[in-house]
Amino acid sequence: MSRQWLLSFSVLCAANAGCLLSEPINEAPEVGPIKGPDKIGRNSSQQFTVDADTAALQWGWLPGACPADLAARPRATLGAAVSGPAFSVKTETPGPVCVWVLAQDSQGAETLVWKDVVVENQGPTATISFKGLLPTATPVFALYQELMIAGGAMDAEKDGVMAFAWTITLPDGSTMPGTPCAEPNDGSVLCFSPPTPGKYAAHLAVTDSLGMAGAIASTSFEVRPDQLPCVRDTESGGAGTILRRWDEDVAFTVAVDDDGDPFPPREGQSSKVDFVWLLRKKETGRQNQMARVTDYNQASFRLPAQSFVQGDEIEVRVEVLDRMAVPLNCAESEASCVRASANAPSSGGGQCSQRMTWTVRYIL
Amino acid sequence: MKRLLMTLMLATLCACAGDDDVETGADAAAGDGGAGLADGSVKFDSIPGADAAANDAGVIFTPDVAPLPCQVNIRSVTTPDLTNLPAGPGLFVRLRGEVVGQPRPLALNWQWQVSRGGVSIAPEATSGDASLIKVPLEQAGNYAVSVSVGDGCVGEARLTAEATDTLTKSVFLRVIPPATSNAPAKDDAVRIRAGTNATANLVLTEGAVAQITPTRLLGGQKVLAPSVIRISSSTSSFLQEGAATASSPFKPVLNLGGFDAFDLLIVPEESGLPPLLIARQAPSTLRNLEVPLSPGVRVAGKITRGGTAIVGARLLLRKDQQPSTIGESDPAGAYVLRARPGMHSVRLVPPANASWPTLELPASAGLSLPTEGADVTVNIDYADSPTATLTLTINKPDGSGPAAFTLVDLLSAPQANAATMTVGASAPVSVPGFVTVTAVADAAGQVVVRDLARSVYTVKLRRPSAATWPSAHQTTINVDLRGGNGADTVKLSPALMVSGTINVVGGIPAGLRVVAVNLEDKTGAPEATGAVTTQGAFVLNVSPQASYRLRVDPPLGTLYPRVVFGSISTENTDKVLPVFNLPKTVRLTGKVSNSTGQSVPGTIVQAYCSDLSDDCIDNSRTNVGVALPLSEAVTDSSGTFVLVLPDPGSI
Repeated sequence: MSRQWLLSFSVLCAANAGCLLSEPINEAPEVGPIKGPDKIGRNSSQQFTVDADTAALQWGWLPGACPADLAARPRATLGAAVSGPAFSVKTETPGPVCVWVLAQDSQGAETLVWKDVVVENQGPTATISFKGLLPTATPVFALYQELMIAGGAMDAEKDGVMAFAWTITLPDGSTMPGTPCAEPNDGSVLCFSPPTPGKYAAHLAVTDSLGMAGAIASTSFEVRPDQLPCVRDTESGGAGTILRRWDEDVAFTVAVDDDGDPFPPREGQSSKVDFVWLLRKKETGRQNQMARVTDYNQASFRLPAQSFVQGDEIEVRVEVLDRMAVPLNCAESEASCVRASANAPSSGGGQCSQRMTWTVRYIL
Repeated sequence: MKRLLMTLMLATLCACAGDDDVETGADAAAGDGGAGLADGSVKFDSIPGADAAANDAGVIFTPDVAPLPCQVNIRSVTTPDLTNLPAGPGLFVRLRGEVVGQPRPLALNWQWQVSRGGVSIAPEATSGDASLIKVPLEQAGNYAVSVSVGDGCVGEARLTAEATDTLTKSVFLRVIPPATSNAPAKDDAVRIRAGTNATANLVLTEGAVAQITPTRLLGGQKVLAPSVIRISSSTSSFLQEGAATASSPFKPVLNLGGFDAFDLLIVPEESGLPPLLIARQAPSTLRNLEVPLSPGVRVAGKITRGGTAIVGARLLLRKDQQPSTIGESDPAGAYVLRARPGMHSVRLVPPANASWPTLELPASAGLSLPTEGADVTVNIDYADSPTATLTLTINKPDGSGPAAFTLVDLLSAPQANAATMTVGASAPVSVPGFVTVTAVADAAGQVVVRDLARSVYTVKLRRPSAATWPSAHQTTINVDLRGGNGADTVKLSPALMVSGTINVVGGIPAGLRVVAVNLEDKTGAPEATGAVTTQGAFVLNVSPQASYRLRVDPPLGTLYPRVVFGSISTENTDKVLPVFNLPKTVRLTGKVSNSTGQSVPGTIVQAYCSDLSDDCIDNSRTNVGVALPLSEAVTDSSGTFVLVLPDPGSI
């Protein structure tokens, strides 16, 4: 039974004057409060509904807080309205808005209800991944390795991301701003070469076009302690004795397996490995000292032709130091300086040599 | 500057040799002789292959395969094969002929013929080397090439050339896997196109362990002969060098499944056994190759000057690439060496610190050694001619004081009768020679060289690397000592400034350098280096009247290749070079894997230009020489590498 039916048969009675049958009175539709969030995001579509005893609902919204005299205002000032059981509000402009619904019955009675809603700007949520590293891989890197950490953003408002701000937490707990790579030039990729071993964290905050940052992304990674560099001969396969004519050059070329300073360097990365070349002429009955070739620190070294005569024997030695420059601590008499290093050519760690010595015999 | 420093240091090293401390080669040989090997009394008849070694004059030793007949192999200087060559106006290919096999004509008379579609094309000779020609490839098609060197020794090749509207360059790759990969290093090649990044998947061939066992007879028993062994191939830029010990053969990892023959040079540790060259050995035979070593021919005699014994002179004989042992004269002037039979060149170097000539006789006029086991007496007597003393006082270019510690290199004109050589009872023959002396001026800039043969000398004065005064790297003067002693006061030449500007798209990377290499210096060591400023300017301090190759060396780890940008000659004034645009680059990305498809991390990949220039690798000879890689990289954990190379379209 409808409320309207009941009204049409209502009898008004007074205690001392009998009863008066009255005309039916058409009341305004009964409408509950608008259901929906009090806060909505920019550019996000949020739905509002209402419980009403009529299906004729017209919806609309106004910028700003709902005025106190809203119900009294001419309907035309409420702006555009749409019909339906629910209503979605979507706006780019943050701030208060007033969502209203006008319920009408078939008799023309109306009820207007409204709700204050705040449109909020939500900053983009940052994401971080290591370039060249599978997501499932453990982020453990070599000292001085030039890391590239890619940043991204998930923005609820689908706004243009305006800026990436990187921060790095160093092993001692201090922080420093991160330097983006030159390419791409939007700052979305961090280039970082860890200067000390230990545990690091990289943090990224992304701001949108309104300057608002969302959730900061953080990732931690570990940098292994420096490992001793390992030298290997790339020309003669590690032969200890090299035979040459007196008028032939002798070329020595070595490579270095190292965590931070490999040579040849990895693509685009600097290598600060240092090569120390030493020479000694071997003579019967005389023990000459190894003499350093001054002003020379390259990976390739040549004994120029005709520097020696037929029958001479020369010892050539190379020692490699990565940028940590840890002294070899080996006796000069040791042809190689074998030490434990994770940089051993097998990549599985083990023994490797930081020194290599050849004997050049000019006897051909 | 680096070379100067090193040379100074080497001179210091050499100067410390004391005659009293030298144990002569003759003494060592005598010791071996006591063991019964040096006297030639041991017979090798029972060892397979020993006869071959003896009968073949000791040069070609092929115990398991018949010698190849003489033929000419034709190879390209710039490409690994002769197909898909680019054709078009101005394009060409350089070909080189290599004579292999036996018997060879005594004199090689190179006759080349080239035709396309039956139409003869005249090849161009290059660089005065008749084994090398330049074939124009103006049009696409098949080209027939034939060559004869005489006596029926010929070679043929077919080229195919395709028209191209883009510039391409062949890049020579050296691929050096880590020792753990069990794959030998290999050469490879890729062709890159202008403006196009390239890819190359390089597959390493699984290596096989060869076994080379030098043996000798000792007391009738066959024993291992400790030796140093060098394995080379005319088709590989790599040498394999190693040793066989008294208990273990030499076991290098080689590609034994291919067709490229190997040359083995076996140098026994014992002075009683001469080195042995085994040429063009088929790969399969190296799986287990025993090489019996015979004592060869014993050569002994005296080295004297005007009849007076000379101690410390070193005599070496050589037949092609096969040397003898070195005979060093003892205090009595006596020496002993061992060599293989055949015609040998002769080279005698005087004792350290002596200003006497180095003697050289070519093989054609040299020493003919008879069959195995023979004893030959060879006496060499330096001419006791009048000598001269040279005194030079060397000053700085501005005359402000002495040029202390300047390095002084003297080279005499050839001397036709520097010595006489007497073989057995035959008449003495004249031996030509030349004097080379290296000395260092004292703090007063003075150098005195005594006991020089009276001759005309070219004197090169090299600036000491530690010098603080400005001067040219090298100053050359001529000195005439034919009339006796000479004294002169000279100034070092002032350095010339060669300046220029380099343009780099995107800006000048920090650490860019321009390097000048003197063309006379075959070591390839830079004579001058100039840092490139952020504006692209550079200055080189070079010597007057010299020729240089210039190249741009990028800093380590930057994405720029090494670029060779031509040669310059200096006169006596400063020079400003035209602006040089550093070429654009293309990337060569690739992966190195083994024969089972597994990636090979840690492999070094080096890219070289492929051409006749000293800065490049000649594909037909595959000798790296003084060339430096344009770019090099090491493969990452996935076996991937990236090389950045000059774009062929913008060089």
